[in-house]
Amino acid sequence: MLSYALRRILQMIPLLFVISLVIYGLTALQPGDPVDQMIFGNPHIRPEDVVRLREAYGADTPWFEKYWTWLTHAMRGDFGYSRDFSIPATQFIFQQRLPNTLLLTVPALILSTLIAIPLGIFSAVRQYSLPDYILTFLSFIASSAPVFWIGVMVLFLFAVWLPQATNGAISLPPGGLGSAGMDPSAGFAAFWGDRLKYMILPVMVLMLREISSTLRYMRASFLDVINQDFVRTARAKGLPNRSVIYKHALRNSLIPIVTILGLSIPGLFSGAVLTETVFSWPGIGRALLDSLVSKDFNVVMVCLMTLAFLTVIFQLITDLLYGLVDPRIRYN
Amino acid sequence: MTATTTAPAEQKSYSTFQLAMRKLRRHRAAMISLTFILLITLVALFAGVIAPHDPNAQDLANTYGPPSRNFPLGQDDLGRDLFSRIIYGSRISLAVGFSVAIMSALLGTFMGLLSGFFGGRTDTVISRFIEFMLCLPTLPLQLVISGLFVSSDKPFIVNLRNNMGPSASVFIIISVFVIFGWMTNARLVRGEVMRIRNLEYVDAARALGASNNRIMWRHLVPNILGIIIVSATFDVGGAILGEAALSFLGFGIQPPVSTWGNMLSNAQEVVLQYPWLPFYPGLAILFTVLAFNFLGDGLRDAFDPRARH
Amino acid sequence: MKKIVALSAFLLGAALASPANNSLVIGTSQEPPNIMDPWVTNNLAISTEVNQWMGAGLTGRNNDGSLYADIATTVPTLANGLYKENKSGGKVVSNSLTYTIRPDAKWSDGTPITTADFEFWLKVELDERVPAPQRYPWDGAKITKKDDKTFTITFNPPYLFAQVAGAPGLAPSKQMAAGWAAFDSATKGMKPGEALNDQWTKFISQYTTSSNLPQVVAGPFKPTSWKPGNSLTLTRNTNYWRKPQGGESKYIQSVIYRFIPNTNTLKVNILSGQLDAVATVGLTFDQALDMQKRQGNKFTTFFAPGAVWEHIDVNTRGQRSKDLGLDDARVRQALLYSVDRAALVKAMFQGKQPVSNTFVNPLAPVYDKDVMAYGFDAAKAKSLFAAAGWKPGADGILEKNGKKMILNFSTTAGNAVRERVQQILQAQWKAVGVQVNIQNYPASVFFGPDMLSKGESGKWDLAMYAWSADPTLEGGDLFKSSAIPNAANGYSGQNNSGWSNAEYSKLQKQSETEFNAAARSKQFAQMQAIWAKELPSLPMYFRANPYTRVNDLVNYDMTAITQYPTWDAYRIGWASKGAVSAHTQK
Repeated sequence: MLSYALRRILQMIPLLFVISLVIYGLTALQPGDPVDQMIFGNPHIRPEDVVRLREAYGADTPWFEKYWTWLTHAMRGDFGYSRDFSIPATQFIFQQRLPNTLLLTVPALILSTLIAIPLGIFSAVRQYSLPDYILTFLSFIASSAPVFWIGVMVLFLFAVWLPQATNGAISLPPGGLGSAGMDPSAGFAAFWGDRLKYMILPVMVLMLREISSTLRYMRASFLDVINQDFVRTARAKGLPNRSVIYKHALRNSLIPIVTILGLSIPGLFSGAVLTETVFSWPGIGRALLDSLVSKDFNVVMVCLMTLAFLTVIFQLITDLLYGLVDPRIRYN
Repeated sequence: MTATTTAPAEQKSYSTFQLAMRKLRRHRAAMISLTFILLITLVALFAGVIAPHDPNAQDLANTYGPPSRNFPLGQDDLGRDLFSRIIYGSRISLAVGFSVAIMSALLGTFMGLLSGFFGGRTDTVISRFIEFMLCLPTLPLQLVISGLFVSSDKPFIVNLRNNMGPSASVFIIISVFVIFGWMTNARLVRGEVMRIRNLEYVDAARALGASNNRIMWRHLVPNILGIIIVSATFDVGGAILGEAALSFLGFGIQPPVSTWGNMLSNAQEVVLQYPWLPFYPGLAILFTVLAFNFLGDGLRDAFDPRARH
Repeated sequence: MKKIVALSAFLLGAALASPANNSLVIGTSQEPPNIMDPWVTNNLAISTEVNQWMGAGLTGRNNDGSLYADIATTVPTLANGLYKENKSGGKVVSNSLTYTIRPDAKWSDGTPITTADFEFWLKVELDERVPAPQRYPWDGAKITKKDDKTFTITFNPPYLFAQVAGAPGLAPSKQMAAGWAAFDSATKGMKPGEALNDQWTKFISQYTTSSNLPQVVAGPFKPTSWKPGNSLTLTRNTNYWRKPQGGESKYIQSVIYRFIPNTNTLKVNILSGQLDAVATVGLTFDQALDMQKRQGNKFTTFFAPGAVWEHIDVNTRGQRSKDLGLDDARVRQALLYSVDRAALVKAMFQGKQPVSNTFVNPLAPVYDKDVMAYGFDAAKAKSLFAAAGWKPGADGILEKNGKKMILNFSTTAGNAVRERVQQILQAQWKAVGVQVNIQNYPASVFFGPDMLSKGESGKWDLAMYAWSADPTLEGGDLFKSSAIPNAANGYSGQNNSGWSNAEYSKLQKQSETEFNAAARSKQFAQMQAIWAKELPSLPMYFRANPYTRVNDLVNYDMTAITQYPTWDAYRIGWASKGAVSAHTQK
C-alpha cells in the first residue's frame, strides 16, 4: 500500500507539469487579449497606441516563452500579480476568495452527505414504495431546476415576500457576504451570527443539488449490493440480525459514494459560479471565470494548479479509501 | 446461480432477452416512462405537424403575452408561441440529452472496466489520463475551439462555418459533452469493478473458462448497472441544460432555433417579471429526466438475473 | 404570480425607511478592479462612476456641457485670455491654457495641491514605461510652471478640444514620490513587456487597490473600507473646498457601494429596501422598464440619454462582399429601408432608445439634425435591390449572377437585447428576400484579432456592436480611410466596414485642425450627408442609461455629457435632510 502511494506521488510530478503546460497554453491560445478590449472600448485610440500597448502587455510574446517565465518564477514561489486586481495572485485567491468559498461549500457538502446517505438507503430498502417515488421525484426536481431560477426565487421569498407577510419576523438578507460595516471587531458572536444569516440561503441551494445526486448514487449502489449473492445468501441463511446485513451491505455500497466525494471535494475549492453569482458571494468560482475570460494568467494558474493538485491528490485518497472500505481491493 | 447462467450461453441469449422484456413489461413505472419517451420522440419528429404555430413567427405587439386559447402557454420575448417553441425545441434537446448520456455512459463504462479489471499498467495509464482530463479547464478550451472557427482557413472549418446548420452544431455539442463527461462514469465503474472482480462468482466464471470480455460485460456490468444508469440520468439533464451555455460560445445552436436549454436561459433575465417562463422548459426537462430514470431502473431490474421482481 | 407582482409594487412604496445617518447605499453589478488610478490604466465605466466621488479636476463639465471651475480659480476662455490660440499664417499652430489653483485646494490629508502634482501626472503619463491606454493629446503637451499655484499647459501641435478637455490630470506627487523612485530605478533600461508591466502593477497597486486604499484624494469623498467582492465605503472629505448650499452636514456623509453581480438579485435588493440607488452599471434595460412599471412613490427609474451608439457594420471589403453586393451603396440603403427601426425601438424599448440616423450623437455640437433619415419603405428597398441587379429567385431569396443573398449576421453571444434585435431584423429582411443567418461569438472572439478587423477575408457580413464616445469630442475618426484595419497598420484601425471615401476622409482631415466651430460644423454636416448616403454602417439607436433611485435623493442625475449620476458628488444628498436640489434629471 505504502509503495503504491509513493509510486502514485512520483507519477504526480510529471503529470502536474504537463497539466500546467496545457492549462497555460489553452489560456493563452484563447482569442483576444487585453489590448483588443481597449481598442473596442475607446474610439479615440490610435494605431501607435495599439502598438505600444501590445508591447507593454506582452501581447505578442509567444505563449511558451511566457509559460517558461511563469514556471521559473513559480518554482521560486513567486506567482506574480493579478493583472486585473493589481494584487498578488496568491493573496487574491487564498486570502480574499478561497475562505469565502469554503464557508459555503464545506458545510453544504458535509450536511448534504449526512442527509443523503440515510435517505438513499431508506429509498433503496423501500424500493418502489410511495416514499421512494416521492424522494426520486423531489431529487430530480432539485437537479432539474436551474440555480438562477431557484436562487432568485428563494431570495425573493425570504428577503421580500416573507418579511412582508410576517411583518419582519422571518427575514433573510438578499445576498452578500455580510452586513455593511460588520467586521470581526464587532465580537465573535455578533460577527458570525451576521455571517450565518447570509450563509443560509446559498448553502441551502448548494445542498439541494448535492443531496439529490448523492441520494441517487447511494440508492442505486445499495440496491446493487443488497441484490448480490453474499447478502442474499446471508438472508437466505436467515441471519437473525437485519442490521448486520445492512452494515455489511452499507460498507460495500460506499464505493461509489467515495468515488463521487473524491471527485467533488476538489470542487469545494473551485466554488460554484452560479450560486456565488446569484447570492453576490465573492468566492473563487467567479474569480476563476472572470480571470479566464480576461486572461489574467497569474490568477488562472494559481487557481487551476491548486485545483489540479487537489484533484490528483484526492484521486489517490479515493483509491486508498477503496482499500479501507473493502479490504479485498488491493493494488500491486 | 453463476454456473447456470454462464454455461449454455449463445442459445439462451434470445430467451434471456425475451425474459427481460417480459419483466420490463411488468414494471409499471418503466412502461409509463417508455411510452412517454416514445411519445416525445414522435412529437420531436413530427413537430411540424403538431405545433400550432410557426415557432419563429413574431408578434411584437404581444410580447410576453399570457396563456390564451391561441397560445396555450403564452408568448415569449418576441411574441412567439411558447408551446410551439417547446415542441420544436424537443428535437435538439432530446438528441443532445440522450446521445450524450448514452455515449458518455458507454465510453466511461468501457474505460472504467478496462482500468478496474486489468489493473496494473492499464490502470495507471487510464487513471492518469482521467486525472489529466479532470484538470482541464473546459471554458478556455471551448473558447479556443470557438476562436478556431473564426480564424482558421482550413477548408473543413470554412465549410463548417459557412454551412453550420443546427445539425453540425448538434454534432459538435454532443462531442464536447462526451469528451468532457465520461470521466465521472469511468471512475465510478472502475471503483465498483475493483470491488467485485474478486467476488466468488467472478472467480467461478473465470474457473469455468469464461473470457475476460465475457466476464466484464456479462458478470461485472450487470452488477453495477444501477450506478451507471444514475450517472447517465444526470447526464441527460446536464446536457440539455448545458447545451444553452455552449451556444454562447459560437459553435452551438444559434437564434432563432429554440431548445429547452436556451428557452430556460432566455428566461433568466426576466425571471422576476415573468417567473413562469422557465417553468415550461423546466418541466419538459424534468419529465424527460424522470422518464429516463424510471426506464433505466426498469431495464436494470429486467436484465438483472437476480432481481426481486 | 399576479399576487407577487402586486405585492412587490406595494413594497416599493412602503419598504424604504429614510436613512437615519445621511448615508447612501448604491448597488452595482460590477466591482471596480481598482480605484483612483490617476492614469486610468483600466477604463471601465464602473471605475469612472465610483471615482467621481473621490476625484477633483481643474475644471469640470455639468449636465449641459458647460465648464465650471473646481481646483482652478477660473475656467480659461478666449475672452478672459487664459485660453490662447497661437496662429501662424491663419492656421492655429499651438494652443495653451493657464490655470491658477485655488488657494484652499487641498488633498484629503491637508497638504495643498500644487503645480507639482500636475507636472508629476504629466511626466508619468508620458513615460515610455507606463501603459497609459491613450497618449493623445498629452504627447504634444508641456507644462510651464509659473509658481506653485499657477501654470500653463501648451499643446503643440494644437489640441482641438483643449478648451473642454485640455485640463491635465493630477496625482499626489509627494505621497507617490518614494514609490515612483523605486519603480524608476527598478525599471531603468527595461524593455516594454510583461516584466516591466509587473513593476508598474506593483507601483500602482500601492495606491489603488482593496488592500492598499488610496490614502490621499482630492475630491469630496475618501475611501474608508473596501471588502473585496462585497462593498466599498466612502466618507466625506472635509478638506474638500467647494461647499454645498446650507453646509455639507446637510448632505450625504457616507456612501456604500454594494457589489451584486446578478442583476435579478440586484432587483431583489431594491425590492427588499436594501438600496437607495442603482449605479448606471446595474439593471438591464428590460429590468429597468419593469422597475419603472412597478415603481411606487418612493422610487423612480430614469432613462438618461447615453453616449453609446449601437450599429451594424456592413462588410464592404473582399470578394465575398462583392459577390453579395455589400460593396454597393444601393444594397446597403435597401437593407436599411427594409427594416422598421421605429417600430423596433417602440416594441423593445418603449421608444426610450431613439433611432439614430448617423454616427454622430444628437448631443454633439457637430450633429446635423437634417441628416437624411431612412424610414421603413419595403417598396423602395425592393426597387433599390432590383436596381443593383438583385431579383427574387424561385424560393423568394434575392439572386444575382446565380448567387443568393444569404448574409451572416454576428454579434456578441449571450447579449439578450442584441439577440432579440437580431431576430427582429432577420424576420424583416426575410420579408424582402434577404436570408440572414445568425452566427454569434463570445465577446473575446467577436472583438478578437480574427473577426471584425479581417473583413477582407470575408469573416463576417453584418456585425452589430456599439461605440461609446464623449459627444463633445466627436472627431469622425471611425470612418476615415486611414483607419481601415490592414496588415500595414497592424490591424489596429477601427473602420471595420472597410469603407473608403476620399471626400469624407479629406473633410475629416480638415476638421481635425479647424478651430472655428461654425466651419467645423459645416464640414461635419457634409461628412454626415456623405455617410448617410453611403451607409458603411446601418445606424440603429443610441442607448439610454437606466438607473433607479429613491425620490428623496437630489443632484443624482446625468446626461450623455456627464454620463454618470455621480458627477456632482459634493451636492448629492437627501432633500428630507436639507439638501438643496441644484439640477434634476431631464
